Amino acid sequence: MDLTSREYSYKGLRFRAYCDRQGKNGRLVLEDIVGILLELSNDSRDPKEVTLEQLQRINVETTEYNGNHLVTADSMLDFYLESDNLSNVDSATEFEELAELLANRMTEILEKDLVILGRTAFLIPDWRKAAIEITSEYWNEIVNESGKIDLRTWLERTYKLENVWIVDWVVNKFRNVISSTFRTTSGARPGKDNSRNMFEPHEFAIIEPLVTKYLSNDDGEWWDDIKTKNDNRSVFFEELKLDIGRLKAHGDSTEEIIQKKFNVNPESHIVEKHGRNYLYESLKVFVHYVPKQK
Amino acid sequence: MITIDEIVSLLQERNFPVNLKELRICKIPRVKLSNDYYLKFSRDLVTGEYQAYITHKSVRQTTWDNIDAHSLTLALDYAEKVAGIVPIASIEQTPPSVVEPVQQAAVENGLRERSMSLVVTIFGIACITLVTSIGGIVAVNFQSCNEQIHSPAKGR
Repeated sequence: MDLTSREYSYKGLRFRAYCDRQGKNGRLVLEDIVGILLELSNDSRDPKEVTLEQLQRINVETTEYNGNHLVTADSMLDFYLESDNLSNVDSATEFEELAELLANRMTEILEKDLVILGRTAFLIPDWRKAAIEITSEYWNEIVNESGKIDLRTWLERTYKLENVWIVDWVVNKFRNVISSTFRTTSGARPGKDNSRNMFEPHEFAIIEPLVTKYLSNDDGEWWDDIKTKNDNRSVFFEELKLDIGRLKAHGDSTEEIIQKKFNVNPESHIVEKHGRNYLYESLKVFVHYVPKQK
Repeated sequence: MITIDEIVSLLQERNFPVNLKELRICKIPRVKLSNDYYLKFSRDLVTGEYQAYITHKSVRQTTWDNIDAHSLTLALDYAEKVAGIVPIASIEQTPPSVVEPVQQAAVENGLRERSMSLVVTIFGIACITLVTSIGGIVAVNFQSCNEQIHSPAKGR
């Protein structure tokens, strides 16, 4: 049996799936899933030993390969559901989250022979969802003569980032990502208009999950970036920070400062489909890091 | 559009066992059929529509897209009558709150086999006791009869 492996992760904890050369016969590595459960429970036991112990009492069909036990999606679920003894009370939520991941997305990847695509397969359902949403949004519009828009326009419109420097930061972050991803996936260079790369709206689907995750600050990266940008020494930012610092010294609240300086409030720029006000949240973080004037 | 609750209800009406522990943890039903077949469901991220399908060792065999109550009924008919892959009637039909604590305790303590042999032993002892008791009663009765028969003679 000749198989190739692909890596996936759950909360930064890796697990592997194997498939054959044709991308068929997708199987998960039992030891990796047990390893994640032990890690989440702060259990230092060896995943290989614990897997063997579990297999003595849980009857599932496995294939031994490279010292690991490979299982089908169904056998994995049968095994997993009997492995709640490896989950402690504190990680019970994570036990269910991982179960959902295995029962839904990983099962689909295995059953549709998508293991061979590796992590890309994880993104395909999200790309499809984003492409459908973007297509619906732009359905009745003529964007411009070529039917294309640039990254800045899409970001402003999708995330209501109506602030020049905030949107600048996000454009700089994702400009190269969209261009290189577009070239990789389509095999073509994006068209240009006055040196700006132009895309059909649905083509932003390939970065939409990344941008949404970034602006939602799921991993803290966006707010860390705002904090770093706060150190900007340009004349514009020095004056802006002085103004904000004076308002803070005057006793104005963060909400009042954001309203006065940027004409934004918690209800003004809500992105309905996400229920988030990315612009207000970002400005709040920026204002927070500006020191009060003495 | 059909909901998970309606799917589960329809499955249970037709005696397709749903593992309620699995439903609680994975949020989606899965029915174990005979010979390693499974009847499963998946949800479209965008439309929210459900798909029913039968798998065998992680290979999709038959799929019904955008199911409603009617097409799910046809899918269950197919599993039962056409494919002949009937659901495995099992303990899973009983709510987990009743079954799990007993099962779990037995598994955790490794008592399942020992408790079986204990039951067999108790049953054996009970049988022997019963047989012995019946034998004793019969013997006493015979003795009593004999005594009743002989006593008058003695009396005479």
